[in-house]
This record gives sequence, C-alpha cells and structure tokens, in this order.
Amino acid sequence: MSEPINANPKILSLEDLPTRSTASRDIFSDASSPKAIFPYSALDDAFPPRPLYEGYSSLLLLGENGLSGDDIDMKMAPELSSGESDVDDDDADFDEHEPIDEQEIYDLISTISDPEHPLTLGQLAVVNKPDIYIISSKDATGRRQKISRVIVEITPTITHCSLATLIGLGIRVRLERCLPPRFRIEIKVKSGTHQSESQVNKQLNDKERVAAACENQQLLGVLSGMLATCK
Amino acid sequence: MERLVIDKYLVSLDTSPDEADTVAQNIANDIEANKTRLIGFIESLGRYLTDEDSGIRVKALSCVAAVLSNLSTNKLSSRQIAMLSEFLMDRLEDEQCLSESAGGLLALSKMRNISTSTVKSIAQAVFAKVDMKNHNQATRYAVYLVIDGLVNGHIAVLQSINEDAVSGFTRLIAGEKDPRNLMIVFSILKIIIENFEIENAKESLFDASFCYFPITFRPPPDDPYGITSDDLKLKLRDCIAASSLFAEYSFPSLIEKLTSSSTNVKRDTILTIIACIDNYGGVVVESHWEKIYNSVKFEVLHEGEEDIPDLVCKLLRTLTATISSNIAPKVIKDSGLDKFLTAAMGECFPQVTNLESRQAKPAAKLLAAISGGSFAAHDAIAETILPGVFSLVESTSAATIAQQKTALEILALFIEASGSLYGWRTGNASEKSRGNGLLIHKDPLFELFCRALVSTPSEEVSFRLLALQGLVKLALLKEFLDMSELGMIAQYLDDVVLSDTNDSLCESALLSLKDLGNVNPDIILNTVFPTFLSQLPDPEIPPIAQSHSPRKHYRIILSSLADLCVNKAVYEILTVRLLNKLALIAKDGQDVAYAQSILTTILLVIQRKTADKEWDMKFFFLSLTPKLISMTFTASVDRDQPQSRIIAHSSIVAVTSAIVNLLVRSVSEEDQIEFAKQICKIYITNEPSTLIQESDRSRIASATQPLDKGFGTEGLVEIFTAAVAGLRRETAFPHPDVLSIASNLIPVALSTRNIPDRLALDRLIALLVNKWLSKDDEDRFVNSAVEELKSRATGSKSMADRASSLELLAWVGKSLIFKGSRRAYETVDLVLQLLCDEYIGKGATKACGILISGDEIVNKSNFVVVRLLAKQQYFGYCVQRIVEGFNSSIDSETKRNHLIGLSNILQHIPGKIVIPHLPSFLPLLLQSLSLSDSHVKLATIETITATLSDASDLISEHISTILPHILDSTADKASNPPKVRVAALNCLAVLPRALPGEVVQPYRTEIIRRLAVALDDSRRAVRKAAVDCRQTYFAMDG
Repeated sequence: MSEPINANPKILSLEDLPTRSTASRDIFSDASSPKAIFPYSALDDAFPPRPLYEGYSSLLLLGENGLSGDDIDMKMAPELSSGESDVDDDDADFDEHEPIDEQEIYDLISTISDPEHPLTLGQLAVVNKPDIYIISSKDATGRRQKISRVIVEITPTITHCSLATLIGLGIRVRLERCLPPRFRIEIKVKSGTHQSESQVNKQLNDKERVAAACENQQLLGVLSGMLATCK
Repeated sequence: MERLVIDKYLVSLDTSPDEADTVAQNIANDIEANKTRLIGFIESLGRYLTDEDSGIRVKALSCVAAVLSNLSTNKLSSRQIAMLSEFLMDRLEDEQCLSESAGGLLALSKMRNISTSTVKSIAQAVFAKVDMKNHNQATRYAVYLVIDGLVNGHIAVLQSINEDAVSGFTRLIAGEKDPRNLMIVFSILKIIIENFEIENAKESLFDASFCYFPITFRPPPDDPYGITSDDLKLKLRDCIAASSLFAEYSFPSLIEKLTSSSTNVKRDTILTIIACIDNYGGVVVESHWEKIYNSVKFEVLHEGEEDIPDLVCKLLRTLTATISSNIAPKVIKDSGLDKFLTAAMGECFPQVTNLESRQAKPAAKLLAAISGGSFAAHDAIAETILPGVFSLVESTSAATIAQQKTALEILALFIEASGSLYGWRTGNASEKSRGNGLLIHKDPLFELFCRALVSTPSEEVSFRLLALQGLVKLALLKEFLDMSELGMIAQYLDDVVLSDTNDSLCESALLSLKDLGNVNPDIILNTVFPTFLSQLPDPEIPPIAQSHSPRKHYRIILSSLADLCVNKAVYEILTVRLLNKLALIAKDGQDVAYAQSILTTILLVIQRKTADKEWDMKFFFLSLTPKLISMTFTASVDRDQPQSRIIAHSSIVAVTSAIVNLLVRSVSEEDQIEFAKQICKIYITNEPSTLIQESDRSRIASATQPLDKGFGTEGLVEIFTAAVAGLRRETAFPHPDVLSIASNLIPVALSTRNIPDRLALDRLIALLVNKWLSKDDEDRFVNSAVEELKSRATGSKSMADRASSLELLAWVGKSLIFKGSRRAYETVDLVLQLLCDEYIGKGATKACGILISGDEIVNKSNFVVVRLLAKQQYFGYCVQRIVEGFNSSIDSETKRNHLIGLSNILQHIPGKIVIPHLPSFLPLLLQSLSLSDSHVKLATIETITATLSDASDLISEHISTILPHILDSTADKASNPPKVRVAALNCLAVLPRALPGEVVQPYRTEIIRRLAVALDDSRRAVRKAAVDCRQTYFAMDG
C-alpha cells in the first residue's frame, strides 16, 4: 500500500460521537411508574413487572376473572389469549411510530471505515451529525409525504483528499442499501472543505457514473471492505 | 549367569522393547540380590561385546546400560564403577555404540560411590573422544544427558578441570540444531556460565550462545517433544543474561538486532536486553545506558508497532531501576543516572511542553516510564518536567480544550508511574512509606483536575472523563491526598452520578466511587450515602419544597446505592436506612412502585453477592428474614392500617419473597433447621413463632391460618413457598406427614382465585412432591390426589374447575417430570388427549408448556431434583404423539391446538434435543408459520433459526416453503408484532451462513427486494435488523 494521503488525521474519541440517548426508554413496564432516565444499570431486570397478569400468563391457565362464572366457554375466556398479537413487547404501545431521523442516518454511515485508516468515518469527523439533513415536506393534511430527501455533507480530512469520491460513493451505496426507496439521497462535500468541490459533487450524484462505478469489481471490493465494519 | 537370559534380551530388543526392559530388570534384581555377580554378567556378555557385527555389539552394550540403570545407586562399589566406566569410556570410540555407552556412563555417573577421579576421567573422555558431527540427534541427546548428569551432580569436580570443561563443551555443541538437544545444551551452558571461571573463554562462550539468537524455530505440527519457540527463547535468554562478563558483547550485538524489520525479533531482543539489564547489575549496565537508550527511544517517540513501545517502556524502567540501585534517594551529580536523566529530559522536555506536538504524549510516556524506575529518577523528573506542563495550562487561559486534554493525558501518565512506584492505597491502613516526590505538585495537580471536571462545559465528555479518571488516580495514590480532599472528590463524583446526563461519565463516576469505597469505606458512609439518600423523594415533604435542581429518577439513585455496597458493614447500614424509608413510604400509603424499588434494591445486592459467593449471608439471614416476614404478617393482619396497602401489596410481597428465598437458600443445613421449625409454626401448626416480632407473636398466631381453605390472606402463601423453596433437600421437612400436607393443599389451590397466591400454591405443591415425597408416598399421591385431579379436569361440569384442575395437574406433572418419575407420563397423556377437547383444548396447549418450562422457583438452585434427561425424555415422548394427534384430527381447531401445544413445548427445548426429531415434525412447523398466533409464530421462527446450521440439509430441502413464510413474517401487520418481525429478519440473516451457497443464491435478489419493505418499518429495532440482514445478502458472493 502506498503512503497514505493524510498520514496523521485528527481523531475523535468514541465518547464524543453523537449517540441516541437512552433517555426516552421507559424501563419499567409498570404503568404507574413515571418515565425514567435510566442509563446504566442492571436494575432493568431487577424490577420485574410482578403484579401484571402478563407475567403469569404462561404459568397459569386461568386469569383473575376466569373463575367467576361456572359455564364459561373456554374459547371465550379472554385470558386464554388466542389473541392475535400478544407477544409482550418492550413498550407495549403498538402504534408508536419511530420515524427515520438524522441520528439513524448517522448511525448507518458513521461506522463505515475509512479506506486508508483503520478508523471509522465518525471518528475521523468526515461524517458529522449536524451535516445530515432529512427533508420531507408535509401535505395539506399535515401528514408527511412519502418522498423524502436525505442530504449528507461530508468533510474530507484534508482539502485535496482524492479519496473524497470513494468515501462519498461508500456512503451512497450504504444508504441505498439501508434506506427504503422513498428516500432521495444526495451526497455533497461540505462547502469550502475541498479543492474540487463541484467536480466531486457532480460525480457523486450522477446516477450513470455511480452505476458504472458499482460495476467495477475492484472498486466494489474496496467498498465492501469499507462497509464490513458497519454496525 | 545364564547365557540364555542374555540371548533373550538381545532377541527381544528388536521385537518387544518392553520385554527387553523386563529382562534387564530381572538381571539387575539378581545382581542386587547377589544371585549373579556383576563380573559374571559382564563375562557372559563378553563375546557379544566384541563381536564383529556392530549390530550385536550395540545390543550387548544396550544390555549393559539397561542393567546399570536398573541397579540401585549404592549397589556398586567405587572400584566396580571405576572398572565399568573405564570399559565404557573405551567403547566411546566405537562410533556405532555411542548412544549405548553414553547410556551406561549416565547410569554410572548417578551412582553414589563414584569417585572424583572417575568423574573427572568420564568428563575428559567424553570431551576428548566424542565427535558429535557424526551422530544423529538421539545419540547426541544421550551424550548431552551424560554431561548434564555430571554438571548437576558433580559440579565441583568439573570446576577442577575448568578449562577442559569449558572448551570441551563449547567444542561438543558446535553446530547443534535440534530443538530438544538445544534445550538441554542451553541449560548446561547456563550452569557453566554461572559457575565456572570463564574470564578467558567468555567470548567463545558468548558466541556459542548468541549464534542461536534470534530463535526463529517454529515447531512442526506433529512435534513429539512439544517444545515451543518460546521455550527455546527463554532458555537462550537465560544463557545470554547469565553473566555480566558478556555485557561488552551482548549489548552491542543485541542493539544491532533491534534494526530487524520483524516485530517478533524486536520483541525477543528487547526482552533479552531487559533480562540482561536485570542480571548484569548496576555497575556494568551503567557504562552501557547511553547506547541502549539511544537505540530504543525511537520506538516510543515514534510510536512503534504493536506492543513494542510498551516493552521499551518496561526496558527503560528496568534500566533506570538498575542504574539507580546503588544510589541514595537523590540523584548523585555526575553519576550515570544523572547523565541518563539529563539526556532523556533534555530530549523530551521541549516535546512534552509543546501540547500541539504529536510527540508530546509519546515523550511523556517515555519519561513516565523512566520515572517509574526509581524514587530518585521519579522525583527528579517530577520536579523538572511537571512545572513546565502546569505553566502551559495555568498561565494561558487561551489553551484550547484539545491542548488541555493533552496536558491531562500527560499528567495522568506521571500519576500512573508514581502509583506504580510509591504504591496505591489499599484497604488496610498501611505502614508509612517515603514521601512521594509528586507531593510538591499536589495542589496544582488537584486543582487542575478538579477544574477540568467541574468547570468544563458538559459536552466535552472525553475531556471530563479524563479529568475524572485522573482525579481518581490521585485519590488512590498512597499517602497523597488527605481525607478532606478525598471527600471533595467523592462529592464531585456524587454530582456527576446524580446530575450528569452522559452515560459513560456517570458509569465511570460510579465505578470510581466504588474504587474509592473499596479502599476507604468511610467515604461511602460519610459522604456518598447521605448525599444519595437525601436525593430520594421523601413522602413527608411535598415535591415542590424539595431540592431545587432537577434530579434523576429515584431508581437511578437506588441502583447506584446498590452498586456501592462495597462490604457487609456498608450494606447493613444501607438496609437499615432503606427499611426506614420503606416504613415512611408505607405509612404514606401512596406509592407502591417506589416502595417496590426500595425493597428491590435490598434484593439486588443479595442477588449479586450470593451469585458470586462473595459474602457469607448468615448475618443477613438472621437479621433480615424475621424482619421482613414479621412486617408482612403484621400488615396482613392489620388490614385497615395505611401501610398494609403497601406492604401487603402483591408487588411488594413478590420482592419480599424473593429476598427470603435467596437468604434461606444461601445458609447451611444447620441454620435452616431452626428456621424451618419456626416457619412451620406460623403456617402449619399456627403457633407463636420467633420469626414474628415479640409484641405481635401470639396475636398473629391466633389470627392467621394462611394455608387453610377460605382463609384468603393474600400474599402470605407466597412467602411460605419462597421459604420452603430455599430449604435444602437434606433439611428434613419440619412436619412428618408431607403427603397429607400436599394433599390438603390441593383443594386450597383449586379454590384460590388470586393469581399470585394460586401460582404460589401450585409451586408449593410441586416443591413438596419433588423434594420431600418418598417413592411410596409419591405413588400414593399419584393414585389418589392426581387421579382425583384428572377426573375433575376431564369430567367436571364447571369449566373453571376443569381449568384449575388441569393447571395444578400441569404443575404436579412438571415436578414429577423433573424428578424423572415414570408416573408423570400419565398426566402428560391426559394433557395431550385434552388437546382435542372442544372446550379446554386451549388450556391444554398451555399445559404442554407448563409441564417442561423452567421456573424461577421450581428449579435446581432451589434444590429441586432435575434429571439430566428430563427435557429430552419429555420432548421425545410428546413429539410423536402430537404429530399423530395432528394428523388424525379433523377439525381445524384441534389441528391448531396441536400446533400451539408443540410450539409451547419447543420454546423450552434446546436446539440439540430438537434436531433429531426435526424431520418428523417439520411439516407441522411449516404449517404453524401460517397461523396468525404470534406466540406460535415467534416460537416457530426461533426454532428454525436455532436448528438451521445443524439441520441444514433438511431445511435446504424445504427452503422454498419456508422462505415465503418467513418473508411474510417481516411485514408490519397486526399478526406480526415487532418481536416476530425482528425474529424473522434475524432468521433470514443466518441463512447465508448456515446453508450452502447454492441453496440460498437463487433467492438472493428476491430477498433483497422484499427486505426493502422492512427498511421502512415503523419500529427502529426492526429497521436495524432489516439493515443488518440485507447487508449479509449484499455481502454474499456473486
């Protein structure tokens, strides 16, 4: 391997990378308990949802009310749960919608490894969370429209980095594989961070050229190496 | 002496070495018993010993050697030994027989009566007559063994022929390459180098050793001797390091090897230099420090490969320690150490004090390594270097966070070095040690790290983490910070745990508090506990009046308190405080969840400490169990009191029971006996028991019959079940008639409606049957009680009665299946029959699962008998019958029941038991994938995933049926809750690895296409699984 283009890049510590806060997680299924910020402890398992019937449903045949009437048709008894969807879920709210957000995009691409360092794009600050934009317009009823745009601006480690296109291509391939087709993906070099910005941008968003690049076996090999570290 | 015997030896030597050995032993025994004279033995061999045929000569000599080595060491007289050795020494010239004559000499050299002159002549003969080059590896080995024997047994004699021995041996080993021989050669060399006068031969001895450096040997795969490259390296290293006389040759030669491009050679070289420095002593090493330092420093400064920089640091530390050893606590001017330190500091200071430089940290690492070598070096470096670093971050407030971070990293290296030299705090009050040279910088260090932790913006996580870790290191330095400073650090850490939002900071702060607590539990008691406990919400004070700052949820505080129980005394105090808190909350009568969390904290610590067997729990068993049991009983008797609502609440009783169970099970049989008596007084004979506090004892005894039908005190049974579960099987059940207790409990269980109580009763009966029913009683129990239950389950008019009977049957059945009892299968038969029952079929599907599922009470840790093959037996029994039942059933409901029953069983059976039966029920499994029941679907998909790689042929055959179903299960719809979708995606992700490529390949494009849907799932966890799954298909070859 030839001498790396930037032999000594600046590296971020893993602790400083943005992560999804665990704060929103409700750890106790006991409905009476307040939502808790509960980041780091084994107590999760230690507070079992004891009083809830669900916990016992596989250990007992009858529920609390199952013994009340003498002629219940067992098929009717709700506790026996022939039910459609009664696998306990961590947060039992089935309607809860978790839309795809910037952090999720960041998590998808920040673990791609750099083609010349044994580090990830997140650690090298090539990919930064504030430089990821999701744009989805809302229609008249206020509902989000299906078609959305994802814009990722990358920051090459040095302004003459010839690998910027390769990195951009890696991000594009990763996102095309991981995002549903309703997303339109745009990869750009962050303004002012590369000598030949417009050239690189043109290359990265030209469908024909991207498709052609993905036919190149050697290039594809490099790409799959970069994507192998994705978590 | 019989010729015959000797002939027998010679003949059997070729055919059966064992037999030859026996013959030699017999001859030796005869000589030993004076039945044969030694001379006679030799004479009868005489003809063969001089035979024309070398083969015969070899065998004859072999016979001599074998007999000699079988003789006891004091049998032969000095003269006999001399005569024999003379004979054998003559034979040394007979090249064909060298191995055998050496064997004979080895045996002789071990004889007790051997004379000095004989030893001397043997040695001289070997050195003079043997030419190793002509012999194979095994023969050379035999010769080395002779020398090895002489060197180890008669070193004084060999020292008297010093010159001959040294030169003779170096000549002998020239060109040796065999690893096993080298092992013995190196150990002889080491003895010679260490014990002989080698001044004149030092160069040739050094060359004889060093010509093997570096060892590049790699053992062949079928190596019979099991010698590794490392064995040889260590032996050779010992030789090179054996004498300081080698210094003038070894250091230059080793330094030359450092230029090698191989990391392995570098590593070996550095380790060898370390060994040399260690052994040669300060005076010798002092004259070589400069060459050594200059040749290794680059590995640290320019961050060499792998572990090389760390090894070099170790080298520098050893070097410093060695050249400091003769010197007083202060560096003596113009000593070697002085020059060394001046050179190193002169070189590194500019870099350490240039925080922008990439070499700042490596340079600090190098200096820190040196300062870890001796007190003098440490203090000198601390005095000179640290002020430079301080001035950078103190004076210029303009220092960027990145620069300050580097500064903290540098200082942390020096603190670490200081700790490794001056020692860390330990729990026991230690003896006074010398004053740490870092003490002169104590204040700036302490302030700098405190400031970095406390007054840096909270988003600078890694920087604050560094500060936190540095502070803790300072706190742990032996005799460094005083109590008030430790207290301050503990408070900062408290603040982080209680108010910081970053996970890794909080985690690190909590761990650090624990570390501090381990060396000084008072910190936890005096500083941490009061702060944490005061942050817990107090029911008597309205929330608004309490603290102003936003605080974390009480569960975080409680779990932190649990983490900080560093010893039994701390935990004891915590339990007292928490039980007081519990009483307050209970009196308030509002917050069950809070009360449960408090009690769970007590449980959590017991769980951890019993799991790792760290503490003897007897103390807590004696103090806590009566307290908790008494508390629950009082609450249940005084129903009208506000605290009863809390204490007797089922979610509280559940935790109380868990604590009682763990404590009872952790103590010895003797301790359990008295407890068992007392608990039976409360529950069975209804007498006053010492487990209840004295003031309520008789009142409770007369007011409660917790096990009587219709008494209906909720929760009390659960405690009894937990206590009984914890009793050892050997602890006799404190009531003589277990059979009647178990039988009498059945109607109680059938009439109990409250869920926790009924479950507790089911478990209690199962425990009694499993642990204490004798074989005969078990039969009686099955014949009467179980038969009765069975007829109720099939024939009762009341559905509720049928269901509860079936439920109890399942629990009794479980306990019998675990026990390995044949009669369990009568119950199993009934349950399987009931799968076809129009009304109770669904109940039977659950019973199928209950019969074999694991349970938190009825399990091995509660001393329940669980036969090794219980699951296998049950599964084998059921699977065929369920398949038949499925095939012969007509209506869809019954078919469905069989599928659900099967899936309920499969959930509890490990994959390797399932696989042999898979062919027979795979069709059923595939059908259950199309059921809408999500439990069944989940169990089925998980079964397929678990068996995939071990049953790949079978699955491959059905891949076209399985795949569409699994792909359908990834769709977001009501019958596929997120868990099912994730399970389906995980199953798909395993396919490419588990099945042959050509099976999966045709479906690849289709799978990738269909997975796009899951990429847009509403749940993040599903999308994550979809992304990972899709990636495995993209990454597939082709």
